[in-house]
Amino acid sequence: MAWKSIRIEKGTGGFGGPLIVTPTEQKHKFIYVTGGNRPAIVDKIAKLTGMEAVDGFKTSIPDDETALAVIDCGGTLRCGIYPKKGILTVNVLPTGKSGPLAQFITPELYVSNVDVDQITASDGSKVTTTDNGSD
Amino acid sequence: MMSQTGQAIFETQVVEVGQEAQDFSAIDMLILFGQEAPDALRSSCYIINVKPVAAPITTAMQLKIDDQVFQITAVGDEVQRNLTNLGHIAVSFTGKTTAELPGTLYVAASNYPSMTVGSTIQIIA
Repeated sequence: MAWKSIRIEKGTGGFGGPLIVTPTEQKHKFIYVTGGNRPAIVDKIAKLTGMEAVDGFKTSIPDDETALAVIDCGGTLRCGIYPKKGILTVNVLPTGKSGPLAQFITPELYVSNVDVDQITASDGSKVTTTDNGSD
Repeated sequence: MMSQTGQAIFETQVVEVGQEAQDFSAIDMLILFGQEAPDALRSSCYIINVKPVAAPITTAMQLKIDDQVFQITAVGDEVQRNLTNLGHIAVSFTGKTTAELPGTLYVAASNYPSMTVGSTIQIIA
């Protein structure tokens, strides 16, 4: 199969991650649930991983087939709902562990303030500890 | 105390009440989302028609839900954009004067409103 892994780090002032996203036979689509323009990271993720990007407002796919959710959440709902479901979540805004669902926003599942520079190809291993992002 | 209510810069109706929407009253919050809300989010929200926002929302304005008026005390940085694009904001009935969450509109602490399908939500300048 042609799918490839990526590594997603937080941007400056962001929270969580890094996440390693490895598409599988079951999970090879990702959703974006964002207002207004489709964020540039959606195209980069699709290009690097080979996954299909799905507009979450137009099409729904089962949670267990969702490899990743890209959101632009200002801290209340989307940033918590998707991690609560166990779905890896990337926020283009710098929202940290906040809001009513804060308990579900964990570094293992969630990373924020992500732009195209924070997304790189990966060999899929989780031993890459060279975190270039600032804390 | 407050100025008399004036012109509505935003007006919409509740078209659906998510099964868990009322749960957020426990933290004095409610969540609005437009008709396009994905299934994963719908149950937490009061679903509204997305309508244009005619002016920048400020703390000089009031939120009006049916006949109840709430002074706006803080406006998160994403409120204007999210309400316009998605019909999606959270409303916090805590009277906080600094917007801790960018997507949240803060209004005066008061009786938590009871909203049903058909309830009217306005922002009054």
